[in-house]
Amino acid sequence: MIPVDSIDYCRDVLRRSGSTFAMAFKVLPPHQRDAMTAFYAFCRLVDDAVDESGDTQGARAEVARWSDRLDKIYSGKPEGQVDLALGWAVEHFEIQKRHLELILEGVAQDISVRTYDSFDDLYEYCYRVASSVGLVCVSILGELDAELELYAELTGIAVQLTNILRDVGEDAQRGRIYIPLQDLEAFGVSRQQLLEGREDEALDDLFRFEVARTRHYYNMAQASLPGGRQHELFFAETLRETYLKLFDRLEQFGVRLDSPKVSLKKSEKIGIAAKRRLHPGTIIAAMGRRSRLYRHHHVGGQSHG
Amino acid sequence: MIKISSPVEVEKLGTLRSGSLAPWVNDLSHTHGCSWSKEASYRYCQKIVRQSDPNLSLWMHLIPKQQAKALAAVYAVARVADDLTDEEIFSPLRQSALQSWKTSFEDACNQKARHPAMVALADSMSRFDVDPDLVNRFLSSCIEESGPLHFENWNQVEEFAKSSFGSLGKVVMGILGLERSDLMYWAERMSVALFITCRLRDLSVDLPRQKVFLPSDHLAEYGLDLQTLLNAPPTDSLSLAISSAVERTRWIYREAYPLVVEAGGYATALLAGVWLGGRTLLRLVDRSSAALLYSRPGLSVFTFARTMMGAGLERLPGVVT
Repeated sequence: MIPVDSIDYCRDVLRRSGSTFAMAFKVLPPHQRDAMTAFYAFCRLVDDAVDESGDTQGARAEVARWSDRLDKIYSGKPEGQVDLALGWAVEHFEIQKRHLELILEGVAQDISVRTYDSFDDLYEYCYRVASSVGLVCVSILGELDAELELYAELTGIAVQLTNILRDVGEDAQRGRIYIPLQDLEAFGVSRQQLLEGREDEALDDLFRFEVARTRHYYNMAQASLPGGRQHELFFAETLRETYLKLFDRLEQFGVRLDSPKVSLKKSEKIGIAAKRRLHPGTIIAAMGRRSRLYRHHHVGGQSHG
Repeated sequence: MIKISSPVEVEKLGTLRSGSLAPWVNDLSHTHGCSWSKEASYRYCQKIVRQSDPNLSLWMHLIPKQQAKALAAVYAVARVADDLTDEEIFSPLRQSALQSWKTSFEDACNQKARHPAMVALADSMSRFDVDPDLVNRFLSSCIEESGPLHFENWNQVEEFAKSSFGSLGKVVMGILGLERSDLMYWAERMSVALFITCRLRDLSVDLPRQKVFLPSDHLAEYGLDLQTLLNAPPTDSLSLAISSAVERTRWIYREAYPLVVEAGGYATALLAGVWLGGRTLLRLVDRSSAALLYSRPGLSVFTFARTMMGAGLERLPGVVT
């Protein structure tokens, strides 16, 4: 069983964050909801710890501390409340340690790296900060196999590229350039130009190219998941579709250095979630899952958690 | 006769076509140990067909599943090459990206495919015993097209068309199981007609890149030359040159028409769709005339559906006039 105090603590972290995930997780079955909440709390606390650490050295120390905590979780000796809840989720859903470590590596990379030379380098970063999250999520929401691994990886890349394009102006103001320097060079855009926020035709072309690349990853992510599994993974699909809609809007308005942050209204997010949740395929998949659980509990005589 | 009364549909220049693959082919080495399964790869290709060419996607429903999947794979690979060749957005990276795409095809031939389109194509090629040289010739012609290009006469244009669309046409015929020599000849004529139609349609995109598919001797008949065409051609002369090129292409479609009738079964339906689509696009090109200098007519589902209904009402063979 998941320790009650621990999951309550994680729920509190989720509630205090003000994230829409608090509402979104409610559509999940209880065990998945608890595991996702624990995982969210882990990510939130790691992020907060790094943000509040003050300087690079402090941030690195925080990442190292969380890395030790992961070791303890995986050796069956979790210490904090979040660790206990995450430890339960890790055991219950067979979450791979490597995927959680990748998240920490991503956070560490974000502290020290301010530019990326090539798309190869950027891809690695996106894999660490976003695909890793996707991999943990699909481990909780479905059974991780090669198909889902590819889906999680590609979705993570698409989502992170969307974030990068959406925040390109804001990041430049903070001295960060995520768009590969090789691309800048190919399109005749200087690093200085981006940092100073000077827009011209070359920068426009560069952004359109990056948008096209991101679209390519959404296409691949969608194709990587078989039709039947879309319903099984309706929650992950809801997240992907929400980001896709955000990306569509970004593409529609065009990526700009000085434009206000593109976002979706709460009603739009609810609309996407409702459409996915109420899809007959999702309902049938949920019934199948319940009947499997019933057999597992009552016919097999075993009990979860 | 097919009747089209709506204004010419024009795609905005400089924007990516809907559903463009927009690949960054150097991304192919990515994915952390995950590879594309054949099923997922075919799904990807079919998605590309749906996004990029809804007309073709509809026609694909008419043919057996295995053939449809193989055609989707061919389409996806060709679409990447075509986007890289044509789309302005790729201009800074065009040559290297096309070369990478060709290399990934060679990898696919050696069982090392990584991109989903290539995984699917490699599978289809072994399933339908497709000669890899045909795809290679097509990709080489795309690389050739990525730089300045012009021709002396129509023979040269047709030869180029044969190695480009013609090679792909042969792949498609092989997948459809239509390998009779007369069918292959007509298919080649159809490929040439489609190629010229597309290149006339793309005049506005090709000219700034010094790609001219109206050959020099044809231009000379209308008092034009390469230089005038690249600068500011008199629209009257250009209209006449385009109109005569359209008429010439129309004849090639007529030469290819027996393919539609003789192919038989579902292939007739599919090829009729391609043939009619090409003819309709040619008509739009004709209507655009000198406006092709700054616009690129496109074939919407609506126009195509109306064309098909018109053809259906008047019976297909009656279309050939």
